[in-house]
Amino acid sequence: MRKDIRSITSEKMVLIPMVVVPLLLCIVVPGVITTLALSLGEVLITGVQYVEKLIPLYPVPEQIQGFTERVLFIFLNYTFLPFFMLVPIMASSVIAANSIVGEKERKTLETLLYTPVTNREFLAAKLLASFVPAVLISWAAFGGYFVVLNLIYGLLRGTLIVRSWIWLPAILLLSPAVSALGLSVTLIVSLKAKSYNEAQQTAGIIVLPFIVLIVVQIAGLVTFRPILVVALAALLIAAAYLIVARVAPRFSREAIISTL
Amino acid sequence: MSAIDAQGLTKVFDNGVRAVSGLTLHIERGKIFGFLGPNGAGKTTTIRLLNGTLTPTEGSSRILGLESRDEEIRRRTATLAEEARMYEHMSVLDNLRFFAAMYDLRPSEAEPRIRTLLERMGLWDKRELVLGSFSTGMKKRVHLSRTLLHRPEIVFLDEPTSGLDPEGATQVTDLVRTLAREQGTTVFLCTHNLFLADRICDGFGFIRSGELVAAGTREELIRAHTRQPQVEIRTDRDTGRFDFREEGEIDGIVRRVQEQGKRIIEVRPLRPTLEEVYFRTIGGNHELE
Repeated sequence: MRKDIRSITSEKMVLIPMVVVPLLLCIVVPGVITTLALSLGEVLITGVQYVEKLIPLYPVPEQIQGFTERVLFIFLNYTFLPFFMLVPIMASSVIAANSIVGEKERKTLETLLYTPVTNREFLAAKLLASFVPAVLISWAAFGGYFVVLNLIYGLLRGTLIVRSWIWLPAILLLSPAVSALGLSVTLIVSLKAKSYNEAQQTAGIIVLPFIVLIVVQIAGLVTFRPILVVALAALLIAAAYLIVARVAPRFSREAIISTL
Repeated sequence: MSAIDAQGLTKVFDNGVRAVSGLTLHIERGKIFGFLGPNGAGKTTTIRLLNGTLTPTEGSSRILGLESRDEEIRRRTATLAEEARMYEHMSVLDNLRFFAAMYDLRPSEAEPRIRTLLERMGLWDKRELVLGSFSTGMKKRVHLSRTLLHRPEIVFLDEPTSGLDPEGATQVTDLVRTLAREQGTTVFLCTHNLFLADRICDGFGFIRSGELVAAGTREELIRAHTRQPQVEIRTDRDTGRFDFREEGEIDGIVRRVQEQGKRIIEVRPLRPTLEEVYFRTIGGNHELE
């Protein structure tokens, strides 16, 4: 697993999306939006009329006063939450594709398969080496988001803005669940894919349900509550487990070596 | 006890390709066995069947007395595949430490072993360099070190000299011979390079389209598959070839030619070579280095 993690940091093609995407998605974009909203006020926010409809749907703390601030609270704590799920899903599929298909492509997999490592050990190592960094990256992204956004808001309004309890199940449960789903889908793709790019592009399809989730949530069709986040996490973990359980027997040394 | 025993080993892939067909082999421990054949003949598939990576469709094999599916085989053997690589972003030392751990070698065992092997390969001074910075020949030597780390009883080498210049190929081949002889390791050597195989192998097997077409020691193969030895005599009038059984007969042949009033310019014995056996058994214009 340590070797796989070192391989990630040595591959620019893998490292760049894992640093740039969380940085842009979780820190730069919300940071700029918050700064602009607080500086320009309703000029920026009222243009987005649909956000107004969301205000009654979510609990906003008393410390958050003013229309712009309340919209911003909902935006940063709820609307933005599904965007956060793109980080672990992307990280897990990038790392899993690199660690399985990347090894195939770099012709190191064959050397590995001739060692005494068992099918079970091989699969477990590959899954863990993708899952752990993906979860850590999503936690680091949230840590950065929490600090930067609260710092900006705190300096301008004297209180915290990223403060909803919904983040607790989202980060501790949903994020690992999404990582597990991302890597389980990449696992299926890895069986057939010949190149890292092919695996990455095919596995990328898993992002689509999360885009749908973002849209329905912004449209007010789904209201995020902690219980919904927990239920969603449980559903995703179950889906990931079923996929891994189904794919694992096909992940034999013989099946892999036959595709080399 | 024999190192490798294969009985009617056959592999048909899902796409219908019959890569190996009815292969029967017996290789004694401590021997270096050269397995030769053209590209696509089934050499790599044979290695994968013997090292337990692939399951045979028919037939069976016992490696060091173990059934072909026994995972212990990979612990007691090692495979150096033609195209397989090690981790180019890692140093030589880190690569070898990683693979030593894969064979459950404790650091106290692995470190002196790594040092010994790298010194033998002339790479100890370069141990901290990343593998990606090495030439093909140096990488092959690192690979060979990796292959020998856990003192395997059988080493499967698939084209270990491919991509090497003649000097590098000879160096690697001689290293294989020395290390195998020192440690009593059985070597199963797949190669195109008959010249190098002939330098180090005790026995040979020729494979064509998945079928073993000839096997035995050099002498056995030559006896079974080639013409009688001949002597070529060039005179001032002509050049002729004459059969002989024993070298002692050559004098008599030369005398008979002289009795015909011819002046002898050159007498050259033409002994059948392994190369002749190869081409005779494999047939066609298959590539050979």
